[in-house]
Amino acid sequence: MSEASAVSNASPKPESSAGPKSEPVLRADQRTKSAEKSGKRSWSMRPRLIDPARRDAVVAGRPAVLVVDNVSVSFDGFKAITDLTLILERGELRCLIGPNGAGKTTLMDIITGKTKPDSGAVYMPHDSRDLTQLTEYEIAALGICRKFQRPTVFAGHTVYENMELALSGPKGVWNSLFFRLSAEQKRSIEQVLEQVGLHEHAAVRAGQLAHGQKQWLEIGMLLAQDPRVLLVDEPIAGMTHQETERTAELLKSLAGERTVVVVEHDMDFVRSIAQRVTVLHEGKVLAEGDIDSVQNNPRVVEVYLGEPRT
Amino acid sequence: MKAEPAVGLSALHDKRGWLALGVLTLLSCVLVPVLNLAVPASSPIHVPDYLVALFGKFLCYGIVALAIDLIWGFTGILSLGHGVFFALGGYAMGMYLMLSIGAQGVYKSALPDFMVFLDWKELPWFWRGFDNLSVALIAALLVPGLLAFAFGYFAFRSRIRGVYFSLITQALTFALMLLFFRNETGFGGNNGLTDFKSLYGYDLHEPSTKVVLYLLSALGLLFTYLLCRYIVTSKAGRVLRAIRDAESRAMFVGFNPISYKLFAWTLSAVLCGLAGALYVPQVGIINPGEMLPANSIEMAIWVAVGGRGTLFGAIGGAFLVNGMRSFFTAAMPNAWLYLLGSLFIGVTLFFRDGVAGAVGRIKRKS
Repeated sequence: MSEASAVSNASPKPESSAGPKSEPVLRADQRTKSAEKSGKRSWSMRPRLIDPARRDAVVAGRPAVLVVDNVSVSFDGFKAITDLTLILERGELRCLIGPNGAGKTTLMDIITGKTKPDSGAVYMPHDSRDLTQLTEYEIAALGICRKFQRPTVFAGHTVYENMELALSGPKGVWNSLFFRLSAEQKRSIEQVLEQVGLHEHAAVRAGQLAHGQKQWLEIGMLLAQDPRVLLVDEPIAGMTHQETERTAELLKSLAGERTVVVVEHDMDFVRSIAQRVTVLHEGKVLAEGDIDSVQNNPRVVEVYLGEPRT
Repeated sequence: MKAEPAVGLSALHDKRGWLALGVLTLLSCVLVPVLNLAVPASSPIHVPDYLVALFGKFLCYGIVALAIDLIWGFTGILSLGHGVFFALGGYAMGMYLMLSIGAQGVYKSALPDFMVFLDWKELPWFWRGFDNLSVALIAALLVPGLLAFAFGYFAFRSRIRGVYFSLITQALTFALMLLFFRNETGFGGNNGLTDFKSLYGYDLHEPSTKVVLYLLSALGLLFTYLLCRYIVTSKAGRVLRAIRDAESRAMFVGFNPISYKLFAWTLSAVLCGLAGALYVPQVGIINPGEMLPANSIEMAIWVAVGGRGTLFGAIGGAFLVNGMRSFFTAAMPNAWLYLLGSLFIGVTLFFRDGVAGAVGRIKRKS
């Protein structure tokens, strides 16, 4: 047995003892309590809080920052993700790879609240809320931020205004009406712009930036949200070689302080940045481990990589 | 290059902008009243009473145009039902004016004439308190606001957008129009409320009262403009535009689009209510015809012609289209609707950003 498959077998242990699907995630007494508490969205009958015992069992002492616990989702009978468990550790840079339709983007959608799973839960180790029960903006406020495949910046706003909007802090209407940037916030915007190399373009409309610059601006906007977890979907699509190198540098510099998850097809790029790699296939974790062990895993080679290069 | 957003008064306008605004305010608030009241009627520069009333109406339309620009131009939500909020504001004011007629009506009764005609013995409960001007004014703002809030809450929460939203706003104004057409609803049926005599003790037919109403409308427009300008130059305005341009991105940045849309939408309705309340004493009548779906569409045309997302353009559009309407409905009444239609088609085809946008482009080229 290779090292990669050993790792992938190790993490989902608790679920085999816990029984089928997500039911044991929550104790019965908690469910009634949470249902009483939740005034809004009463149509949702799914449990809202995580059973701490279950959580501790899944995390198993690892320095986890985000846990995807036994999640399944299907669209019109097509099983996009099946019983998938993924534990992200603090400060790591994780690459998600896999063939088309493996469920990479769906997984991102589930974590960020865009798609609601049929079963399973997503949670952070120090928070008892089930993220799958929260809205997109509530999840964003928890510090889980996402960069989309296509760069989506606010094209009509300047680079600086984009950063201002992304900045962490209260996001209510009343707050925005009387909002003024503090000196500290100005400094942090400038610092991030420096980091992503856009400080000279602060007054430019974001729509006028080059493709690569838009990608960096979007990463900068994520940084301004001061995220704990950064989900980055195909960051180098359509980038020149130089831009790719800069992006690799940028992503590497972000990990450590934050947890970064990168979905990418380009294996060269993955090799240049990854610490750990998770291979998805048909909605399941096929292998997990460092880049070499994953590349030499015969199952991975078979379904995804093809013959290893010599 | 300075990239940080400006703050304080300089965020609203630069020096030239403030100067232009001041000159326009002075012109409309001083020149028109003086030329009307102080200059003798024989003089060629005398502004006749009917023009004062007409300008007063236009100023109210200007407020409506600003309200629509806020929700359409800046938030990207096209309402084709703002006439209903305007009319509700008008009805609230009309109820006060109706009750202040007192026993001077045709039937010499303390009840409004139409109620006597319908053989009602006492004032319905929802008319109580409307003999007080401040109650009427608060209702003129609150009723459209509450209706908009309830309507918007369910529509935005269900993520109804674009043309679907526009269509249900048409349905809203049409439904309320049918309701108000009924005598039993208690607002005078298809005749509406009219025959007003006085406002707060001042005779509505006196030229001086008309000038005061005109001035109040001008101040109302100025206030609305400054309020909208403040909102769109604040961070909230940038969030509204962000939601307009990329709603899902705005959501992932942490903004709740529903509350922002609801804010702009409700405020827009409240401003329309204000416009309606200022409008009714000047024209002397409010009836369900104001809620015709076509009226609301025309309001959107003002903003489209003037230029969306510019505020100043929206006011200009309201003045321009209504000025043309006044002229053409007198000069060639049959041609007006064709003209309005071709104006709208022409603007959407050739000047997508309206007159204000076209002017801006010419300025930048020179």
